[in-house]
Amino acid sequence: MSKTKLYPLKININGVWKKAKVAPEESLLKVLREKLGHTEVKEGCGKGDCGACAVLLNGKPVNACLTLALQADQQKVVTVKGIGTPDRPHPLQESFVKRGAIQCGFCTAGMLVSAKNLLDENPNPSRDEIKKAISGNLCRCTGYKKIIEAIEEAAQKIRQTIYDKR
Amino acid sequence: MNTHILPQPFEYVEPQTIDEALQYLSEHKEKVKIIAGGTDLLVQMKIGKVSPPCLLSLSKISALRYVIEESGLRMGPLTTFRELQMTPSISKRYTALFEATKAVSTAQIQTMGTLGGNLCNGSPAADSAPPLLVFRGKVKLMDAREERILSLEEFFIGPGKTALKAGEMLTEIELEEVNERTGSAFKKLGRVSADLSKVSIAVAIVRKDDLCKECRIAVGAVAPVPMRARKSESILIGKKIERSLIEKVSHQVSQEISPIDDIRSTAWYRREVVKAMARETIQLAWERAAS
Repeated sequence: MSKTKLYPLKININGVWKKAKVAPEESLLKVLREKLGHTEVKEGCGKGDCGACAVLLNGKPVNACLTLALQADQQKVVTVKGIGTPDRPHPLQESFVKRGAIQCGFCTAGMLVSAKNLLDENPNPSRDEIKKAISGNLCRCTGYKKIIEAIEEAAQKIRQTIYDKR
Repeated sequence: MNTHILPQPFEYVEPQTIDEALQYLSEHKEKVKIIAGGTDLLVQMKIGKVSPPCLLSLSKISALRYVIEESGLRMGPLTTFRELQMTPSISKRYTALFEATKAVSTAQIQTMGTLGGNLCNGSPAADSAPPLLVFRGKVKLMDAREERILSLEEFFIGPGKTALKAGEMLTEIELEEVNERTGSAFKKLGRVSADLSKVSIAVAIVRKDDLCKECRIAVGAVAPVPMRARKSESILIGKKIERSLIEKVSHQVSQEISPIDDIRSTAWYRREVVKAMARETIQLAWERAAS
């Protein structure tokens, strides 16, 4: 295989600017996992069906497996680790743990990313809207019921926080 | 099949303006493939169906990302399905298009996928095609020397084939004006909502009192290209809309299409189910035209 030219990449991940040298054929997913140490982003199907690799790109959910790393140059990426930390988890992360919305855990990173985007845009989603928002995230343990309940509970917590602040 | 890597290396260029892009295209022609959202192209590259020596990314050309309302609607090809959904004039007046953007695959694909990419793929199942056809969409194609405008019907040539020549690129999609008496609707049938359609259909009706003044019906995934069902339309035009008439039209739609058996469905099923879909979609567009 011929050697391809590497390009400089500068990317903001969870609030921190990072640099790497990447080839055009490297996906954002590959660079996140293999060059920048963000193995919390998972790889499932690799063709945009399963959503395990979902990250927020400028606040909106995308599949990192179908994003070229260079397309994300100078952009902001948030992974599941950027949503909350073990010390200060996001209400979604708390609810996922409390409600048992995690079985094997492989879909969880992408699931949380999609749910985060939903609640950012709509803190009072209907059950149907929740299902739509996570329709691109496949859980093969098929624990959807608890996932949906966890998102509902987190939404309620977020609404309460907004209400309390007023 | 290893979909975890892009197996072939390629050159990558990222022009900042339309002119730069057209210049590059005119110099490299067939060697270049344009990448917009990448949701189809990168999958095709991963499975080895295409392996272009060079990708030209449009992502830095903000002049291709817009929706402007003036008499009709003008849309930049780089506008994503999500951006279209958020546009009030689309959700209010171009209902069929709004519903189609909601029916595109999943939240992630709606964020990434673009209107232009959806059309330029030339897929007979492109979700945006039927609604754009019923709003008499036109496309503007440019190369380094000139531009031309085609109707969307002329743009689609066959499965995976469009009127785009080497060195040309889609720079705008234009829809005709709709008024308050226009009602439209879109329906899509897939195995699950994230799938490509087995059948999709869009209807736009202009109503005057109890009469159907204008009617346009377009169907997807049931012919080599997304197509207007003109004979079916003509049955409704100028008529009082009644159940029996809608029934007749739905059978005509079924006659007018030329579906095939493929992994998603069979020709027989498509001919059957399109009748029910036509009935429902015509009814819905008609009701919306009234209210």
